[in-house]
Amino acid sequence: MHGTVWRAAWFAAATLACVASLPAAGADDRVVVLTSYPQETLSLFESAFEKANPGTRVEIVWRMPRDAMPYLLEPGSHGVDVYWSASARNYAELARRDMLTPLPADPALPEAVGGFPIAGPERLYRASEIAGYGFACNTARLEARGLHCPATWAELAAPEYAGRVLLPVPSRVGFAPLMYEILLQRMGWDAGWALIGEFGANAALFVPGGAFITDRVARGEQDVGVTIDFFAKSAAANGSPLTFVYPDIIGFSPAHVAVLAGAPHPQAAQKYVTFLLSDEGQRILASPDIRKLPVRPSTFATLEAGYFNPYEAAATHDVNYDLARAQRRQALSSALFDVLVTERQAALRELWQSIHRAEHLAAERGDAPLADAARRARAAATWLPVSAAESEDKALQRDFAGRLQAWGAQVDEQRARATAEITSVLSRAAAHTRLAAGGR
Amino acid sequence: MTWRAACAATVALATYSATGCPDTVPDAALMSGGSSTVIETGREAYALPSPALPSVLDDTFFLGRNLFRQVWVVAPALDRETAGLGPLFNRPSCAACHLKNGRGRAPVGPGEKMTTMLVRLSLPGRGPHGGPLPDPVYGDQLNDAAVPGIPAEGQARIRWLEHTERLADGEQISLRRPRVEFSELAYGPLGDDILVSPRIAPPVFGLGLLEAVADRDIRARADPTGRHGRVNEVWDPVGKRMALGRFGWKAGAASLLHQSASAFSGDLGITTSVFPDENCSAPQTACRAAPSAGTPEVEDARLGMLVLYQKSLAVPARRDVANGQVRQGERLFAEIGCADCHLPQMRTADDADPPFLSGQVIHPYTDLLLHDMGEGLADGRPEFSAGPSHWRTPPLWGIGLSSRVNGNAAYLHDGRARTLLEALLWHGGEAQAAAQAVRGMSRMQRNALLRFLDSL
Repeated sequence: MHGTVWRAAWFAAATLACVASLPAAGADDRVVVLTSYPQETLSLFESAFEKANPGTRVEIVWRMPRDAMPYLLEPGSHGVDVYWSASARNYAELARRDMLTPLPADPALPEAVGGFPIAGPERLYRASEIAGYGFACNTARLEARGLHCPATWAELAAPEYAGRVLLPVPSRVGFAPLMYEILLQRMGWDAGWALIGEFGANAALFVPGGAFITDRVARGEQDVGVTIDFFAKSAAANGSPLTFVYPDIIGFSPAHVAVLAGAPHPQAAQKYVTFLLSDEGQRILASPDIRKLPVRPSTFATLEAGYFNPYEAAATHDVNYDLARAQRRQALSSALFDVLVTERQAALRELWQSIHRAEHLAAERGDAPLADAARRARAAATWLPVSAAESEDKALQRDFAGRLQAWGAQVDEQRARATAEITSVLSRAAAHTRLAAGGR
Repeated sequence: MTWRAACAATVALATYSATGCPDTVPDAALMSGGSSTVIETGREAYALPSPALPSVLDDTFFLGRNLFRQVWVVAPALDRETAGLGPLFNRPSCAACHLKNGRGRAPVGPGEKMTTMLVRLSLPGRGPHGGPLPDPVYGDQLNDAAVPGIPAEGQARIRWLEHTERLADGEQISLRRPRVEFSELAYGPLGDDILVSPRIAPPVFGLGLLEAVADRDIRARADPTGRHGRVNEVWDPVGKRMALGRFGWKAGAASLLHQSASAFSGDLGITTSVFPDENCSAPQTACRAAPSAGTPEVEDARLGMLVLYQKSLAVPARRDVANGQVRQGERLFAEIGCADCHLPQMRTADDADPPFLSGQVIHPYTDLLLHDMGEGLADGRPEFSAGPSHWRTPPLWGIGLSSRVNGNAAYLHDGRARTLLEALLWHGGEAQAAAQAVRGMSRMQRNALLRFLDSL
């Protein structure tokens, strides 16, 4: 019996499998897309594009931005047609090398959000989507502690958020350097670093290697995660107990798309880009697994109410910053973050706690000498080994590694002096309090 | 672990905990995965860690998750840790097929390419250790993608052959079966005797619990004659011995490590210590000459993280167990014989690895045995002890959440069934009587049966 079944089944399978002579592939039957996007994003776009363009299939080549450039610069660019990624620096470099071909004109696609440009020169590349920085909050846990989701960057430094904030280390987390650069440009170098150092002392630091920022905040390890919007919003759309707040200083990070000048499948490439930038393609960005911000203004009318619209935000907020300037300086800034915060966080935390205590006591008692001491300590705690002018020095931006150790020693010296003074002043204040209490 | 402890752990550990711990202890039947059950009905229902996962393994779990979601890179690359894709492959990441850890689906027709399924190939006869005999050129599965500069093996498309069935109460159901069509075959034609088996990606949650069931408990339920449930005796390349197969549509893999290494090799073209050679046949010279990202490309430590991740994925709890219609459906499920193979309850071994999966009463609705499912479902392709019409009883836990998690529903090995009723009607062979009983049911009874399945 068993043999009979086997033969019958084999016959059935053999008749079902048909080596058919389907049409051979044509020159533009595929588009090769180089990208660094997550699988869920790629799957959604691939499937929608192929459905809208029968007969043209998408082939994905995946590379992180730093790995993409050497790949594209090799002869023939490995047959890549479209480059789609969040790496403005790479697009600028490709444009400079005449490796991109202009995209079709589309007057409905803005060249800027507010005054912040999102398109490259001569339509060689343009933004395909936008992301913004802010705070992912576990609102229920914050409320249980009598706190709210911070609305300003300054709130992250408040003592009540001590240990409750998760902060990405820019030298280790890809999206973070630009975020800190936006703060530095908008607040100014000195004030920006002063605030970053102050909330850096207050926070837990995040480096990749396991759970994401959103995982850790959702699980209550911290209550506020400083992150990029789509991580938090897609987690929330999948059921995570997170809300996302765009704070007082906002800035956007565009991802771009471009067609390579030597694209082997130029028509398919243009079709892909056209689809990506169409209302249909832009709507996919709002999928629960993506949650990025479209660049086509008409798309927002088709999305759920309250979907964040960067063009509206730009009408009421300054969203400008100099992206090229940020890119030039970000390696230096990230290294400086490590010198100022990452490598000395325990001591920095202690110093800032003392400063906050002194400021509180000084205000409470109207104690002018204590207030002066707190001011001096604050100045020392926020002392920078690199001035604003020096940070723009192109030679220093390129070559600073040999100076990091000396900068660290200078920072230590400044902070040790501040710690000694503020500790001494606080001890005297405590002794005074004890005496006063004994006197009564 | 008690329910209370498990629930508290869920709330404390899980990324998404939809609810707190209820005041009353829930019916044990709710806890499909024992202490590895999560109360979650959203899109992440298949993606949460077991509440019983020790906190010291949290980072390993998340690193494993990162590997599962990693889109791999063509070698050579600066990012050496993620390099090694291909030269021939199907999809560039595990998550590409196992979307949100759930099941894949079949294309709607020949105009849509396969994205979450693949086509297994072999020739009549036996290969090494009694397994499938690979095609000398195309191997044991068609790789429809390749790194730049190397031809993909070809494309496989599905054309559906539809027919309508009329049930006893007059309801008409359209059923479809796939016809696989090949094109762009880059390494010559396939032989006339090629055996073809299209398969969707199966869900990957709860697998640690299935691995934790003792061999002896699975063997104890097998029919000594092999006619009503048999064990698949497969070659285990990890232990280098024959072993009980329990993973894959025909139970062709002995362990999660075996299954994962096999998928790395066959689906992604990534080498491991288990399968150290690139997935290129002798005539595929360009493939063989392509650069490799390492020997192996994924070392044991990371392979272990990926396996731990899958072992630790929790099972979503059942819903509506007290509902009258669900209970009626549950009775019918047992009465017509579905529960004979879709076994409602098993127990994991007391010495399971990892220990947090030990000693659990679980409700997977599988016996992990092979059953003859009749000619309608036969793929004609034997796999060790599995004959051409044998399939391993797939677990049904979590199946009611498939549509919610994956946004579509596709059942059976090739995704032909668009609804659970279609899947039931395709049952033949040993399950012929059960399928006949379904055909003879009133609509109310059928709805109750389906409502029960939806509660799993």
